[in-house]
Amino acid sequence: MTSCSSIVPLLSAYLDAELAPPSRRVVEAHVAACASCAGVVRDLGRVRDAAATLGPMTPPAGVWKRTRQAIGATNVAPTDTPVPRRWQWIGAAAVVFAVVTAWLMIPRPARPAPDSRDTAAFRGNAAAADAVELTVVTSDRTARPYASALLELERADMADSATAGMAAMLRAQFETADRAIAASQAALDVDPESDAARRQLVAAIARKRDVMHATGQLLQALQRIDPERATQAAQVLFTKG
Amino acid sequence: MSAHVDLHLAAQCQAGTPGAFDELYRTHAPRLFGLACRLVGRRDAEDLLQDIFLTAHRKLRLYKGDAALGTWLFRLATNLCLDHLRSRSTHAGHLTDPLDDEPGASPHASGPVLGVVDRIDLERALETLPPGCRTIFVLHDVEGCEHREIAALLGISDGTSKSQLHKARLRLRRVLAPARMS
Repeated sequence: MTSCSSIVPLLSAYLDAELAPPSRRVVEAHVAACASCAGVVRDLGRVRDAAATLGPMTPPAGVWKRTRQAIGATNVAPTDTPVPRRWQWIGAAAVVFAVVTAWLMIPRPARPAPDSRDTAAFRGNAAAADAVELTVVTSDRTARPYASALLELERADMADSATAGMAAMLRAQFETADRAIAASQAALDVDPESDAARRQLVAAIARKRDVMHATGQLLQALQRIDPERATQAAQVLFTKG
Repeated sequence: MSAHVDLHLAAQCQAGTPGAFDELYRTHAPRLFGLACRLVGRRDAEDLLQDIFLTAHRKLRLYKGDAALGTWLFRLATNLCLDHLRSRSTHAGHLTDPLDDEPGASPHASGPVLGVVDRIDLERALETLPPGCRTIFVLHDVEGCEHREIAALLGISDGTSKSQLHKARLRLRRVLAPARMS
């Protein structure tokens, strides 16, 4: 008689009728003669049958509400240049003003470590990558004024030419990051499962985020050198899109 | 749902027809939420469900009707759940568990040890499984996927899928009948 230790590993396949006939006959003969293995087969069957009755689960109502809001935020493509109504722009400008004011008035902490979702995306986490893409869409609306502010810093009659030069460099970085984002998104459109394209997208997004951070730091530094210029540059964020 | 109806709904969703995506969500969210809860846990399932439908919204233009819309969504959701699990995995992205001898495999008990398995008990017991064999058990025994399909999703062999399923069932047997198995 075959031993239980050699039969037990086959019992799920036996239960699911996946054994070849010779193996099935061996297991059948053993189970017929062994109460313990017969008990295992019966129990495994009960587990399997119970699993088949596990049905759908109702998600909390808030999930759909948040999903709809997020879908609404993604409906404006990054290349779109909407003309917001005045009251909408005032609200958006208020948010940007609060952010820039914080940067100007509060000592900045060290740049945070890469977002764990970016890291997750590097590991091929599609959900995180898609969430980061959502951030790109919303951050692009915030990032565009920064790029415009940098342009103003370049054009202004600056006493500190190094600042103007840095602004030009940051603006070029914005444009490079935007091109990389567009290229990665185009690659994902062709092959949505491409891990390489997803990684490139995350890297491009992270680069754009870094440029935004650097822009804030530039304005903060300018505040110490030329507060009036810094204020003018910050005001550009409210009036240009 | 026929292919024609699926394509029509997908087209309506893409066109932004009011109520279309609501219908898509109402129809498919419960199954996908159940899948997410059982694969990644309730805590992460809500956020993951949102990600699933955001991704679906973005990728609907790629749906060509060659599979049922529900199947298309299920595959998309499964991939997102697996990506989420891989990001949490400590085994360099692998989603299979070591095939150690399962203590419950030793059939010391004479005869069956389980009565009728209560669904709530089974849901709780599922949470105790390691992610690898839990994934395969959910996909096979709960969702009805074949080993060939599971193997393709996870990048493993059919044999590995079968052995992981067996491991999961043995563990659940042990968890569901602890008193008599100790």
